Amino acid sequence: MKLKPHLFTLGCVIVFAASVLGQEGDSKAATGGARPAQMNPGFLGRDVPVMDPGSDTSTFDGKLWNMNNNRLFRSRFEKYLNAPAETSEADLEYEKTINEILSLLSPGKVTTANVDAAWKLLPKASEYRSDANLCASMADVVYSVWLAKNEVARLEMANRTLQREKSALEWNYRMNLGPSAKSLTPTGTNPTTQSSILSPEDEARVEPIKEALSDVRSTMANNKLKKEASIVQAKIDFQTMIIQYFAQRRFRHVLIGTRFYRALFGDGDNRISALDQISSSLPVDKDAGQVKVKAKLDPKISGKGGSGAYAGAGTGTGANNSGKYAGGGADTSASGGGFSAEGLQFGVENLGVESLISAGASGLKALGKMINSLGQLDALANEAIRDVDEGIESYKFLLEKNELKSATERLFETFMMGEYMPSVRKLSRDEKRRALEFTQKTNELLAALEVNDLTRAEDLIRELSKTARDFDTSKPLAVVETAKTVSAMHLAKAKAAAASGDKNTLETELRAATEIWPRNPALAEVSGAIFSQTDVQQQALNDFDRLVAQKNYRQIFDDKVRYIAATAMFPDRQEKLKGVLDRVQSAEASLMRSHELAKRGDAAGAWESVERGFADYPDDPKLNQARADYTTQAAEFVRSVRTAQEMERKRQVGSSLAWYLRALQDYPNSEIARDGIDRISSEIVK
Amino acid sequence: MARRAHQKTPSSLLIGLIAILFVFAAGGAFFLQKGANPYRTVEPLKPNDYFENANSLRGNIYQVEGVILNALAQNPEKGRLFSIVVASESKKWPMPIFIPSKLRQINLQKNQSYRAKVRVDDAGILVAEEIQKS
Repeated sequence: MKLKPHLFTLGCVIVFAASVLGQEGDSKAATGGARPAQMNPGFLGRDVPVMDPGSDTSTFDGKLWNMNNNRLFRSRFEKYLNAPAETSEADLEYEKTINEILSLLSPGKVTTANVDAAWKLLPKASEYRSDANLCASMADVVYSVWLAKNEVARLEMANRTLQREKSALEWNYRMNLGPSAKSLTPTGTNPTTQSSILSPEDEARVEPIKEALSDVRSTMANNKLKKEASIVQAKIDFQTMIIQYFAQRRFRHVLIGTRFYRALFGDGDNRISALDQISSSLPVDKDAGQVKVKAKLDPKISGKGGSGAYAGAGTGTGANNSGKYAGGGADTSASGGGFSAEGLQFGVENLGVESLISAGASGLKALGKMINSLGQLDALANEAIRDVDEGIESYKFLLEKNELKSATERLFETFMMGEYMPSVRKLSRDEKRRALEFTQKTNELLAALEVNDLTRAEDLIRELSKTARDFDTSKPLAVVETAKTVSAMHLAKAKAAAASGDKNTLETELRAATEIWPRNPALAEVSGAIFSQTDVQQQALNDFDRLVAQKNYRQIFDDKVRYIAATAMFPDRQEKLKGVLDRVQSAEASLMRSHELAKRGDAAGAWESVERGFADYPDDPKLNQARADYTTQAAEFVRSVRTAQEMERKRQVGSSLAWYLRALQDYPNSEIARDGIDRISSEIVK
Repeated sequence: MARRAHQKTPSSLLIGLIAILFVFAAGGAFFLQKGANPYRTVEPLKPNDYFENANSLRGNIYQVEGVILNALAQNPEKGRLFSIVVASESKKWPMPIFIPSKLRQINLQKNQSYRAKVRVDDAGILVAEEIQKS
């Protein structure tokens, strides 16, 4: 059961020691989150938590945490800001009780009656919610001291009785010795050390007395040891409780504890031996070796648009957590962005339970050397109370000056130190409200920057700059502007890629632009345009392929501008389109010529013109229609030509030639007939 | 009154003379006609059949008479190809006719009428075996 406060104190010591270590680096620089490459990951990483109060950051497992900007602190702080002021009658009564206890125990007033009166007030104080039963615990410890003191008194009384018994026994012993033995008795009081030689009768007579005397002496010695141990243990228990209250930031309880301590142990010994006691009780394994902390200071801060940037609660913007960004707007290769920092890297070697216990024991010893008296604790508690009160005053003043950022920072710091102090608890809701609004806004800004909602972030920054005169907009605005610039560059690249048909680059750049600024209005606009352009092009290409498959060249010809544009980047389709357009243009020329001939009443000529175009493009609906029309108008000629062609196909050369001759007779200008005649005639005379 | 009986020609004689004249005229016409068409024993070509399917007429020999339209092609070794117009069934049928080189002595003129004895060769072409101006 006694191990619990020991472990708690050990934890506090480790955090404290870590914070001391953390201060060794450049606190101005954002500490780096990068793990040294040579270190192997292990259970919970290999870094010990290190706090840097200068930058409100702590490092653990290669990651950087902003203390102001994490859910635990934010939620606790916001809970406080939303809590009502503790100015109820009960709160005032509690305050009064605590002050009364302190007054009763104050130096110069300490009497047994006052101590008893103070002790009687402790249970009363513990009835209030704000006390969290700490006063009851203290009352128990005080009572334990009294019990220990009673035990000491009882032991002293027992020893006095034993002393009388011892004297009687010694007298009896001397009286029972014979004269010869008496004469041989040397000077001195210790009968057991006599070197006299007793007769057997004397020996038998004094032996029981010797044994009884020995028992009395050992009992007295044991009682003396018990008395000392009881007092020491009571002191250690009391000191442990006081240290625990100090770690819990219950500074007024620390003052009550130290005053009780002085009153109870009026021996003037105010040394704190609890830390040494704890450290010596820890199971230190010397073979485990030491935990080695390695630190490397190389501060680098870079701003980059996009993800990961944040603003700390009440601190404007802060450095980011996640590693190495190459920085700036010119970098378009990395997606996302942020406000990043790296610098102080911590690493730990030989980390294990045994080595940690050894380190804790060493830390406790070191701490025990630094804080070795209750007076120091008392002074620290008083200083903390003063500092907290001053922080609250400072907060109120900064609020009046409309410097919300500093005010919120001061309140946060004060809250962290003196969360349970009356000055902090008594702050009214209205007084906390403005800090709350500022905190909420900064948290919103943080959230907006985390999700790269730059528009919202920019609005919040401007809003914060209006409400908080001291809010520095330069860093968050730089982040926002950089991200916007980088996003715009990615978009420009995406546009160029879309224009050149480079789909991979288009996709990459659009993704990068989206990651940096997902709600960029231009992104939607540009991507919409690109995609609609891409869609149009793709649709045109699909239509082109379909129409080519259907041999619907006329449709392609009618919409040739669309297809010329769509196939510009596709040489194979371009070649196809060229062939299609040539065909249709030829058909179109045939049609035009046929219309002219038809106008002159030359139906056969018109048909023949269409027929020649038809040979090149038999699927053209316009040609087919015209062909059908002119076929009826020049039926005989058409019949002759078709029969001739059919006969020629069947290798009936004579009949075919005769039909061509007849077609030529019907339409002397017929080129089809003339060609047929020439073709067959040449074949005949060949 | 008495003179009317002395001047009168007997009517039977007159009828006989007229009949004789007719006989002479018919005979002359027959003989004259027989001498103008030397291929009168050869069957005339029916252009309609030829147009329908010349291949079905392959190997047959016909007589054909028509006007030369154009020279279509020629090969000194093989002969000349002409187009002629044959009148038949009140229509004019343009048809090809091949004049082989063995008939090169005949001077074929455009727009002149010729009569020929032709054979339908394997390609359905009318190949003249004999030809003369009609």
